[in-house]
Amino acid sequence: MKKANVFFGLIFVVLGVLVAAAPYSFAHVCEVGEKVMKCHWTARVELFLGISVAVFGIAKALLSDSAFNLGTNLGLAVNGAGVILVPSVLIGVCGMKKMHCAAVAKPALIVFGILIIAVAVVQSVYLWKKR
Amino acid sequence: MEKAITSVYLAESNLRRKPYRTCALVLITFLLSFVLLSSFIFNSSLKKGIKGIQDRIGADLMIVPEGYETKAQSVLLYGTPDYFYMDRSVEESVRKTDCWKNVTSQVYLTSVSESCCDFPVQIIGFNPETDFIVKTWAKNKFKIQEKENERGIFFAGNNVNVEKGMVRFFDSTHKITASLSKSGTGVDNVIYTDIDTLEKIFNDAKQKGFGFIAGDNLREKVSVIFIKIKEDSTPDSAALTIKNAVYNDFGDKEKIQIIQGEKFVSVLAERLSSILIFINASAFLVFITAFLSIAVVFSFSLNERIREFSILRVLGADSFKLKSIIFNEAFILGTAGSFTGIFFCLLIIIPFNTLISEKIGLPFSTGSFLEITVSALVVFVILLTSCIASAFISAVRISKFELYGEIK
Repeated sequence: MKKANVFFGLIFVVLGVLVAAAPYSFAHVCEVGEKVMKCHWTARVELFLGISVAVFGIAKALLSDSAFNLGTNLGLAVNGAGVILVPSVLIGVCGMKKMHCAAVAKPALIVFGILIIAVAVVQSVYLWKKR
Repeated sequence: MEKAITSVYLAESNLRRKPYRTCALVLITFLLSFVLLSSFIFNSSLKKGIKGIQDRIGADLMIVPEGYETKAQSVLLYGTPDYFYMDRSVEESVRKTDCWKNVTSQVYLTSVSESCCDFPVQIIGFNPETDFIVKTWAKNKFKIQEKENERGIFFAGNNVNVEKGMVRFFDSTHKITASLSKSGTGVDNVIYTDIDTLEKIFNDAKQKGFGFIAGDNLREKVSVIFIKIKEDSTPDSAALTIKNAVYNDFGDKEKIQIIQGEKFVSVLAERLSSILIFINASAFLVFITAFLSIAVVFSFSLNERIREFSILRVLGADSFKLKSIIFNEAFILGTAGSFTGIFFCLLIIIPFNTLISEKIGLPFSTGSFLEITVSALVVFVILLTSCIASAFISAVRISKFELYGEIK
């Protein structure tokens, strides 16, 4: 296990946990009432994507092979794009911009998605330079 | 292949060899760029917000029922759904005076809903024929007569969910005549419609079992009367004339309060300026602290590195080369810090602008992509220049050293 791999792996685990937990905690989506809103389905997909990112992070921390890490970074970047696209394009959130899911959950998930992609790019550049 | 020893390479190696010092300096520049850019964006967004409310009020005088000034403000500023009424004949009393150029009225209606995403919405009924305020905000042109004959006028505020030109409202869909341009104020969450449509919605909703807070007959009520006064009148004299006219017609039966548009905006502008002073002062303090910290760190590190520079000098590096190493270090630190600072600042402020606007309780309208890019570039240039300037004293000292003497 290399220090750098553990460091990047931990960042991905934290970001993955945040993506999975945000729609159900600090950046919660609307509760299911008479109607099931779009944000409910967004939260479910984000839960899956968050777990996927965290699992990739654990794998990264345990395995230091650079080819493997570059490959997982590609997967993480795709997951990060998914984290951004689900609340903004693919499924969406409630329409009123003042709703909690639109004002907090959506931007929070977009920020996490951007960070996942940014960290994957930074580690890829770092690994590429070291080769 | 061996790398050529250039001043950039030496600067990079120096920074890499002292990771903690480098991280601390990058952190300082990061903080500085973050604070500087956020203060830039806050300044322009708040000023734009006030400009938005100034444009949106568009009237010299607003008449509301007595004691409802705060409620009228919260509808205009924050879009908090609210309702208050006075007799429509007050508008007639105003028209009897000779101080007005335009007079129009609006009726506020508030939807009530328990379900989470049927957010309570403020619906405002206005008279398209006398209106001189709402129509000017419409993004796309429309023909009033045509729309009136078809299905009524329906304007949606910028924050109202519009899908395929339709808005879903109390279990029925309505075609949007025009979307309103963003103002950064509460009216972005409001739906405007003509009185006939408003009455239709009111009756439809009642039949479908939705609750509405309003009196019995909407046509006999108004919530706010907007007045544009004649050029030769002053707001104070016009307000007095109108107050007297209403008192003569109604006596104590209908008490009104007159809000002067200019004063309304100036109160907001005062609140804004106190916030801006705080933001600008903190940005200035951070700027000075960061500038001095970088200058001091460079100066201290220079004292530690006299031997290193002396060896470089003995190996053939001239004073220009040594200065160039110092400047390159400052350039790399400034670039790394300001880039990450700008990145994180934009990452927080742009996506969360709705939340920020709600929390600070003031009209907040973030600029266009171009404006933000220009602000980011300005911050980047300021940061880079100040980093290089802070290294300047150290660079001058290096060029004046009798370095051969130091190595002996």
